[in-house]
Amino acid sequence: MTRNLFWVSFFHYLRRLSRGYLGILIFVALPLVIVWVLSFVYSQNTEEQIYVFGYNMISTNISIGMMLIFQLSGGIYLLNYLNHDLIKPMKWRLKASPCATYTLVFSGTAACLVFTVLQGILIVVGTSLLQDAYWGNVWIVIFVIVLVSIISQFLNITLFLYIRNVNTAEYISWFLSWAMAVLGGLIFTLPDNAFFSFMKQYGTPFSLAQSAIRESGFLGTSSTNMLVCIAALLGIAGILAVLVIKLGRRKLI
Amino acid sequence: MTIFLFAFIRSLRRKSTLVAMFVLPLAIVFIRTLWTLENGRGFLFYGMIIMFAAFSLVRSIMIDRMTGTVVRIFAAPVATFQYLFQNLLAFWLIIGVQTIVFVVIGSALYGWGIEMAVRLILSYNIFAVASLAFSLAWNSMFRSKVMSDAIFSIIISLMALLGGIFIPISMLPDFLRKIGMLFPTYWLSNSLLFIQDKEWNGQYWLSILIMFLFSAAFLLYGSKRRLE
Amino acid sequence: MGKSMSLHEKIFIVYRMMGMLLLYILWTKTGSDVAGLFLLLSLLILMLFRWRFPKLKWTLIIDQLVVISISFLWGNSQYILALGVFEAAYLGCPLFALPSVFYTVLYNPEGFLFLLLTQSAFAGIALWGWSKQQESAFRNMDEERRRYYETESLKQELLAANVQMVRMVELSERSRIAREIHDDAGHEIVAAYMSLQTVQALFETDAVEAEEMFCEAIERLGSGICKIREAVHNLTPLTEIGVAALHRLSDRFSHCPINFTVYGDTSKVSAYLWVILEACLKEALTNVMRHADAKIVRATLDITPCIVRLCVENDGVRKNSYFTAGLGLRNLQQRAAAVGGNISTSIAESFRLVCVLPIL
Repeated sequence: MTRNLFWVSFFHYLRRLSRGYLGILIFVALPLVIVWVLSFVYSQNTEEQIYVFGYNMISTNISIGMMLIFQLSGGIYLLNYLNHDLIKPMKWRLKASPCATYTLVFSGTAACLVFTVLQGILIVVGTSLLQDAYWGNVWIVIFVIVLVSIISQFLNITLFLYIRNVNTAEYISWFLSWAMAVLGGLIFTLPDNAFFSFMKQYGTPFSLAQSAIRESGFLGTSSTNMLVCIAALLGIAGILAVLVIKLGRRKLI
Repeated sequence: MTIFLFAFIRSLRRKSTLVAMFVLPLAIVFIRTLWTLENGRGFLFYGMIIMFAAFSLVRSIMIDRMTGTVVRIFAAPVATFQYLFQNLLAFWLIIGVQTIVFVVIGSALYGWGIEMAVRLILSYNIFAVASLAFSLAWNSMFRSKVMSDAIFSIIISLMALLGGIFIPISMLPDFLRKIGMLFPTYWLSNSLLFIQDKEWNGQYWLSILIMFLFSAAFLLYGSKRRLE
Repeated sequence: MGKSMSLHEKIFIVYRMMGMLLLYILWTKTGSDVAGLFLLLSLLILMLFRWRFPKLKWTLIIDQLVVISISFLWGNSQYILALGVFEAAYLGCPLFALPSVFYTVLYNPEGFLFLLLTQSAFAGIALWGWSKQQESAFRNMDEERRRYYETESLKQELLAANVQMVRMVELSERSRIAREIHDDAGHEIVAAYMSLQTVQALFETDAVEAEEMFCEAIERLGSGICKIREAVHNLTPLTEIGVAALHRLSDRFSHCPINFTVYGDTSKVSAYLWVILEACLKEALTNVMRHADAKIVRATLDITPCIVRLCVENDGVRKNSYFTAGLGLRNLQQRAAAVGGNISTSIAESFRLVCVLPIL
């Protein structure tokens, strides 16, 4: 019974997600445009070797960063659905349905996860076809995308359950992902000291994922480093999952 | 000036405004690496903060329109001009005060000097007017908040991209620069570029003039009276 | 808002947008850094200004002066003069295009610009003609609609006045009757009454005079009765009205057998209601003759203290025929509505017309 309900609501969430063209515009087209412009400009203004083994290093750097920023903000979908279905307009209607609240939240999370992972893969495919970006090992990249997406969903649920205001939570979510990108050294060069270089390598989910993707191919130095990064990502996801379960039991009734 | 007063108080009551107005600028003004005259990204980041602040302030006009409050306001003997003028003046005052505070702190920390400070304040204020006008025009095009926000986030990314926030405008190739020139952010970074280089020539005033023209165009578009 | 844009306005806007887009592309292709942007922005501002304040058409001259002055810095900008000419032609004030014409004649009399301006002028004039035509069509439509509404309201007023008039006639007639009875018969009867009172007193004292007066009183009474009879005779109308008229209608109906029955007190129904009831019955019977092959018609008139209801039924409904109210019935319905009543029809098993009117 519960399993059937899960699939029903899962497919409904997927359908709702696939209807909004704006989301795809923001989460797929926009990063592609940004990557294109940035790599175009930087390719024109640098004297270094751009192509290594037939891959464009500048666009590789930028696309990994942009993909991760937009993956980390991908939980905003879930945030809006949670707000719409369980807090504000549809609250009592969905509470009256035979579907338990945890089933709804779980299926919504799963649907958003699938959708954002698909969007991430689209960006990967787009940049590697159009901009010669190098993505290392494909399976590792997909695994990292899934992990980052899970972290993003959980992070957004946590934010939302704490703040209870969808707009503020959305702003904070964007802010966090850009702040992570700043700490990852994507926006401007950071001062060269121990703290910042640690943050750039391992400090945030963003930098962990970035390192993992880089270490998976010829850009990296050791595969143990990659495994450490993935393990750390798994750990963060686990901690957030526990937090979400605790918070959800308390606040989402 | 009743509307002015109420718009002022209403804006200050919102937490998001307070964060955008006072917490974010103070957070970045103390990061020393942002404010070297060679790198100078901080000046542009502050411009983006003004843009966001303007957008979130003008949101209250859109809320008035969507909830039908504006119909009740216009039932009183209030002209459209008065309503918009006093609201925008209140918003501008908030941003203006914040700019002055910000520039004073920056001058004290990094020794910008009087002339540079005055020019910075002028640049930022004109840009604030342009941003307010842009947000007004933007919000008059949309009926739903979600839609407006979503498309705005795309536009603001493009503005940031082509207006010199990510890449200095001098690095832009010619055809991208000519697209970028259609956004006020380009002219803000242009004027800031000449402030940082301490070159007081016509280019600075040209940027100010063009930002002013942008404001006029956006105001004309956004000020049409709409009751729905 | 509210008013939607008509097609020629949309074309006008699209044309100008295309012009601006082409100017922008020209600007990106042919150098000229800031002058071109300045021109684009000023044109946009002036365009928005005219959109915001449509009466200030003379600002078109500023447009062209700006273009002409910029054209000395950036030669290609002269082509956008076409837009000014187009707008001047569309707005119906060709004099405002004079700066462009002078500029073309002075600086570029045979070039591509001349061709462009002519083309834009023609496009503008065509669009202007279209807008004028549409405007006059709209005006005609408005006029028609106004006339229609006026006729309708006049009709309603007439129907209301009809009821009013019947009441007025009744009142004046009533006062005439009262006057007649009071002036002629009344005097006689009062005199007879007074004589009889005197007779009653005289019976004991003076019997002879009493008898004399008694005879006189009887005579006066006789004359009074005569006058009343005369008045009543004068009052009786020569044409039949009321239920008699309905009876006569049903009697004269020879198409098929008719069964007309009346229940209730017919005296309670006012004259203006009888008029409608009669018209109703007439209409129903005409319809029977014209459309239905009926075997029998049943007409019933029910009068209660508050309403009067006329129901006409016949059994002759043609198969697969649907009924819509014709002009006669629609008029009747409006008349009934004017006195607060209602007429409805149904063709379920038999054709049935029901008229219900309130008795005030």
